[in-house]
Amino acid sequence: MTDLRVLTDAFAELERRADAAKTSVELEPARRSRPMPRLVPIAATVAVVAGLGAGAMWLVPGDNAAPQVGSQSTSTVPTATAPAGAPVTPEELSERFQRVLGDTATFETTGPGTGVIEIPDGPDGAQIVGTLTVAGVTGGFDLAVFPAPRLPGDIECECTPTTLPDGSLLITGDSTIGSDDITRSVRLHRADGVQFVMLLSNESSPKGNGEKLAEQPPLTVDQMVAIVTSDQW
Amino acid sequence: MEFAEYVVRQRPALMRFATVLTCQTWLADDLVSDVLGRVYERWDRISGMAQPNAYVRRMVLNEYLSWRRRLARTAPRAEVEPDAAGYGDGADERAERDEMIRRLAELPKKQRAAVVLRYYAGMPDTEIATHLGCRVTTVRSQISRALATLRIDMTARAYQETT
Repeated sequence: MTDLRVLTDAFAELERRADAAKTSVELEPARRSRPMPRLVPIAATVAVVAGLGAGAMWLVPGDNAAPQVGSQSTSTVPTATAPAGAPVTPEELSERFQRVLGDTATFETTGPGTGVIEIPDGPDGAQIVGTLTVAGVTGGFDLAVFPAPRLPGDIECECTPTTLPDGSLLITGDSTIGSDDITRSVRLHRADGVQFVMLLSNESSPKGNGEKLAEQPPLTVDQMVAIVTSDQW
Repeated sequence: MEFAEYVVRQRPALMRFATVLTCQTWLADDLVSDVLGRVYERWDRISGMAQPNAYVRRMVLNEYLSWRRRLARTAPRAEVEPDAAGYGDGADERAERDEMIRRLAELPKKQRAAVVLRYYAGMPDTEIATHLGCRVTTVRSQISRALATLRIDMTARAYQETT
């Protein structure tokens, strides 16, 4: 048995974590005078079956399997030399996501949560929510891509961000909401000011809201990193 | 007050409240963002209230309860990472605190909300009952069960019942 002091300590520790966690949609200080971005829900149920593009990336479920870059078809997959800005509609995001996945995965956006991330006085972003299937393994995912310029040193979290060669910051991790669910998260703050947040679960929703679909999420963290850092966006 | 100013001033406190409720910073971030999105749409009305922050905080609570209501299972686990050294307490205290967070995260939603509202937000039980939509006696029984799960011995420390 213990006393209330420990509960108070627990609250204080959770507060510290809250202070350390930068919001995923926080803007740089110069833009904080503007209203917060907001997600505009739309009733979108868009089934997207990847398969138009040649294999840009081969995704094989497995604990440690890294994505394998397959042969690329220049006829359908553009050669991206400079990263594009954030998509401004969920349809555009779906299209780009499909391009990145190539023919190795299928996904279906089901919402709610799929919609535009409105950033007043600035370019919008987009989010799609649904299920992703790789080699017969399905899991729920959230993918948000939006403009969120940052200043050097602006990233704080209970983790160690990895600085990529191009200056982007990458934050990854696993978390659990329920008893046996697994949610993998990848957050990329690209050097050009576009932020990617991808969550993937073995349940139908990364927020733990749904049935268990598989023992493991359909992608490893490394595979998710390969997706968000792809030059096909 | 402009909405942007409100967000700058109050978001950190809302994030703290949401994190204490959810025990997960990324869930708290989602929750607060969702709520602020709705606040933004109704800011003309909310900003005219006597206590807009109390209203928004209640929206956060309701959103949390709503999320959890949608969950089939109600045994969320906390994100408990190994601590970096140097928070000023010893290893035993940190372990005890992290275990408390773990147990807190495993409480059923209403029990956790009741505990947070009483011991974190400092609300009297009557107000907690209003927030949770139940009777005061129910609040007290929820808290009593929660304290048992949390293994908190109220006789181990002077305790002032809030009413």
